[in-house]
Amino acid sequence: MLDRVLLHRYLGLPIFLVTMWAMFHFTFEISRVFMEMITQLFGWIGTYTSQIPNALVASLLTDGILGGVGFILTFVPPIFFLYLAISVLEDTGYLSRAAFVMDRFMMKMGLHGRSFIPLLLGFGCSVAAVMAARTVDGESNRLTTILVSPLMSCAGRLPIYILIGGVFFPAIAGTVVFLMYMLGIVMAIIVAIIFKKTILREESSSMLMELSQYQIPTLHGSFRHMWDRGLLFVKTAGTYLLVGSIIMWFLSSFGPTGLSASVDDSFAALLGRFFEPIFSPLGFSWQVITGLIFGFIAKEAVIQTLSIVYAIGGVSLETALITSLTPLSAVALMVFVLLYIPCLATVGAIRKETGSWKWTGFAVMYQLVLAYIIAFLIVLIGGVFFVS
Amino acid sequence: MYREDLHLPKNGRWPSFFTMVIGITYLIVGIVQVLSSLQLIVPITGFSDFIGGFLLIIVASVFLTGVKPLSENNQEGYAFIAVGYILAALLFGLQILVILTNGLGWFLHFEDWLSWSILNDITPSLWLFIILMTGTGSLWVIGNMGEKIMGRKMEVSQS
Repeated sequence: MLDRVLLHRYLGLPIFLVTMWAMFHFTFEISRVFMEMITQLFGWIGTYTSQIPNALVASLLTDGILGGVGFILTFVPPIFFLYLAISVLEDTGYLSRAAFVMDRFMMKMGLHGRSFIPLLLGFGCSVAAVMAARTVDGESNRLTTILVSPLMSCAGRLPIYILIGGVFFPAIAGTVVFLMYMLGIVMAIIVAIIFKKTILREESSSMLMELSQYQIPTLHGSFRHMWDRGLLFVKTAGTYLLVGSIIMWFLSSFGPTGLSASVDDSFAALLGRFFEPIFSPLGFSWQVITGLIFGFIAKEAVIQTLSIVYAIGGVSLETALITSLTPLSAVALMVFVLLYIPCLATVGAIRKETGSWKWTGFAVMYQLVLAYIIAFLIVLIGGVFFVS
Repeated sequence: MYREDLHLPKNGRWPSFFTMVIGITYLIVGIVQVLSSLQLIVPITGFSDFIGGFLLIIVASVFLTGVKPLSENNQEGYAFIAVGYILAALLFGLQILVILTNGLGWFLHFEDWLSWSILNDITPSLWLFIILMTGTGSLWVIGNMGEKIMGRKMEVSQS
């Protein structure tokens, strides 16, 4: 009987939006205090590591590892809460209904309804979304789903939304996070329509889908799912991001002349400044650009890089962001991170699933171009409305 | 059989009236919250979130869509009440968690929470649900009492 309402022609989508908003509001608002606890913990450890007599070791531990991995670990609470919310929705049986609700709209746009399930999985991880595209019928539909799946906001992008939202829009930060996730869905649908009408033409078939029974999620089951998925993030932070932190610290501390006196003369600055002319219309500083370059390894690395670069420069991340970005550029940055090249693991998954370097290269290139164009439009159009 | 299993009232007139009252209440408060957040009317404490107001309007529309089937004695109308309650409870539960975690930050004297006031977190989604539950509880008690009284009257008249 509940399906009469949850799958209702007009109410289905608004109910889905309420649920999604509640999920992201829960993720952001509830985790804030726990994030602060972790920040305080690493701040306290930093007071000891910064006093190590060897300045280079002190900087590596304080600015590099604590400033990098430590900073990323402060985002463990929102990521765990997001996974908890997704688990609860899955366990209740609502998530399959959400796919069903979206199917109606996707069919109208010539897409396969089943494509929405991989897209929903993309909220957790883009790799999972790309691999789940195997379930989509038809080569063209499957390829379209693979190509648009990385546009969905994965957990790796969440830290940057939380950071930017919290710094620039503190009163509506939860809503900002929600809107970024919604923008991901909207962009995925728009891009999929364009692909289906141009390079990947194929008739859409109707979706046959078995809806699971409604059930009350168990505490044990939901927490178990959350733990299993969240642990992957912690493992990434403890391995790739730890190595990334050390590399980033090295690039920010050393320059062509050796141990550089200022971060502005470091290898990181050279790298960022090389691409600065391209990104200057978006209002991105070299620090942001360097962060975006390292974001190709993993999306979490964007703010990890920013944190390290600014820590070595002796400025707190929040202060540095407010002084180096306008609110409009901050929005453009969030949108750029949402849309630009997928992380290395996702690129690998796209290569494996498509079996083609051509499509893999296309996925990387179109997302870069799309991210730049949309971010530029935000700065351009937003500038007309909010600056004048 | 379905109606008996779920102990649903035989006459949908009163439930439909009650649902309409709830729906209109959520609708009015939602619209006020949207207008207040956009500063089109005098800003009200706790009414600052535009999306929050929009969500209340969605909850209202779920309740109001259920009015017609209920008034026609169609049991499917109860599904709208159920989903309306679930959504209202979701927003209420979320706000309770927000208050608890903000309270924890304030208790621990974290910088961002030093100026925190519980008044700002008492949003319409919180007190509307309390009113909703109080109203539902009262009607349930009245309904039960009515049944008992009516039942006794029937027994007396039969004896």
